[in-house]
Amino acid sequence: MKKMSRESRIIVLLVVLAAVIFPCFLDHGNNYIFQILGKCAIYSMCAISLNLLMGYTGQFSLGHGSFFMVGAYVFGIAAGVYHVNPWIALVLSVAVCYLVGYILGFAGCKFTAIYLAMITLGFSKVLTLVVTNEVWLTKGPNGISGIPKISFFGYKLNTFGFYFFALACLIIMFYLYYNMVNSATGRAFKAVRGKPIAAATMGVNVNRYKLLVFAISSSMAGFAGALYASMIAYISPSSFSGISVPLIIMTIVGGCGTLFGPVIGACVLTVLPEFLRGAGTYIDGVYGIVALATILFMPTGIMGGLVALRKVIAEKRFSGKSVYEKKGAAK
Amino acid sequence: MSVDNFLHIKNVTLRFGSLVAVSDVTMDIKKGEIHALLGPNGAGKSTLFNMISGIYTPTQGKIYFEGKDISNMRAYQVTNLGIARTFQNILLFDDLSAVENVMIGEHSCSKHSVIADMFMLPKTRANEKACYEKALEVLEFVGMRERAEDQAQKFPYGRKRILEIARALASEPKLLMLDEPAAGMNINEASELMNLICRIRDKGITVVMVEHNMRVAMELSDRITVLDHGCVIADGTPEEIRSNPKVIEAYLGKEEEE
Repeated sequence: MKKMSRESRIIVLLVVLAAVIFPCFLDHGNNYIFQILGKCAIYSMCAISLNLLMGYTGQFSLGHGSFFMVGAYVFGIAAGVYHVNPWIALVLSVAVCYLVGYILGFAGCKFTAIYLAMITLGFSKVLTLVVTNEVWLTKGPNGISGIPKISFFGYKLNTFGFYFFALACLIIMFYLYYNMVNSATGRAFKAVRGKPIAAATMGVNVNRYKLLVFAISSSMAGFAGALYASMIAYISPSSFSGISVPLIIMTIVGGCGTLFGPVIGACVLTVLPEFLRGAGTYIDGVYGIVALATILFMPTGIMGGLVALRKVIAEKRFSGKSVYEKKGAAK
Repeated sequence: MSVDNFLHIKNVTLRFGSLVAVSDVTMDIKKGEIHALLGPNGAGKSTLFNMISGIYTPTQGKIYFEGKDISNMRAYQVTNLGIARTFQNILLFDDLSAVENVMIGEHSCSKHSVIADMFMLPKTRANEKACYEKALEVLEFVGMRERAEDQAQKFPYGRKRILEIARALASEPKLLMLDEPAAGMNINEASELMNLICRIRDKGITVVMVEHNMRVAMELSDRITVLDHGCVIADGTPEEIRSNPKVIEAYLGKEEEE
């Protein structure tokens, strides 16, 4: 049972406080800023879900964005087209994504990681085709517009309010993810990642856990997708084209297999493009360079880099102290 | 069910394509004994281990554990019945601490559900605490408690082997299978290991081991089975094995007739 140190607890608390208080001082009507902040929270959830899969269990999904898309479309169709209560639509998207993840995982988990990666890649391609062509259900390339925002007791959230809702969701999801990773279930995930054969001889049903993590991870991404659809109010197949790769990059840049890495990575890579608007389509190149630089110079991501930095500082402080003490002893 | 039927291997054969790795092996392992498997490289000892622990499924024949047919069971099911093992090429979870490794070993005997884990219900908290404390006890038993929080990959080779044994012990096995536990150990470490294996036996756990270190095998074992080319060539007490001409032949080659 590894608990967070007091130091990191304080840092987390400060970051959460900053995320709550700082936006209050911004112009509440500035939808642009609050949409970016909302996206940060939503992509963080996605990156967390991918980290659970990639970082903790060692499974690869090259099409994780497709679960995000499924979640968004289920929400969009239910709430936007059939006018189902958004809360019910939210639950529905999570359930559908869990199911889809379970079915795909069932096909993929019996094989090694690379086949699961192929299956998810294939799924994302097929999904895009289906969504584009099944016009009766998804409205095809025109997309679904007028998707309602979540409302609390009849009070409809604006973009400002929605950011706080997304933030609350992120915090709750993080809490569940943190617990899962630090419990027997998380240990089984790590065992599957490390040495599957050893895990099996420890009594871990490897296939079951692979399937479980895949389904959980896809339902988390689906939840984020539903929030995305609700926030943007309009979805079309092109909103999701090429989203899987940035998700992977977010996870890697933040720190794959670290607790907070994916959140950091998601925030950095959501905000960064906004400053690089001028780069236009070169933005993909920027993503690529950032990913390469991380892999080359900071293989454990930003989070890993921070941890290493802290260690170096602590060691310096420690060695400084010991020199001082030696001097004292000499006196 | 007699005591003889603790682990009963009956006419087991394993083929990889045309290669026969284990051929028609029949042997018994008695409860409470230390049983060694000997044989030259490639004799099929590790393969036999892999079949017992459910990693391979025998092509022919059956394996019974306490009267239950385990030949077609998967590895995690076999572990749940009370068979634990270590590996010849140490398979520890390198990036986890020693105590976490041992806690994973407890997986088969701890009840948990994903939902309860997610919400950290009081039940989960209590389980986690018990699990952690038990892991420390096991580490204490093997004499590694003071390094419980160190990462597994930082341990020297001999310690890693001991840690693997600790992880296996954490699953509360009835049968412990050690695949070359003394490999790469110096004399002191090997003595310590022999002492540990005796203490494990004294806890009532049956031990089967593949061992190349003759001193360890001869001094510790109650019974020895010798394999060569996938077949059993001898079975008996250490004294019987030492003087068995077939064993001498397998290890030292045939005496040339003049």
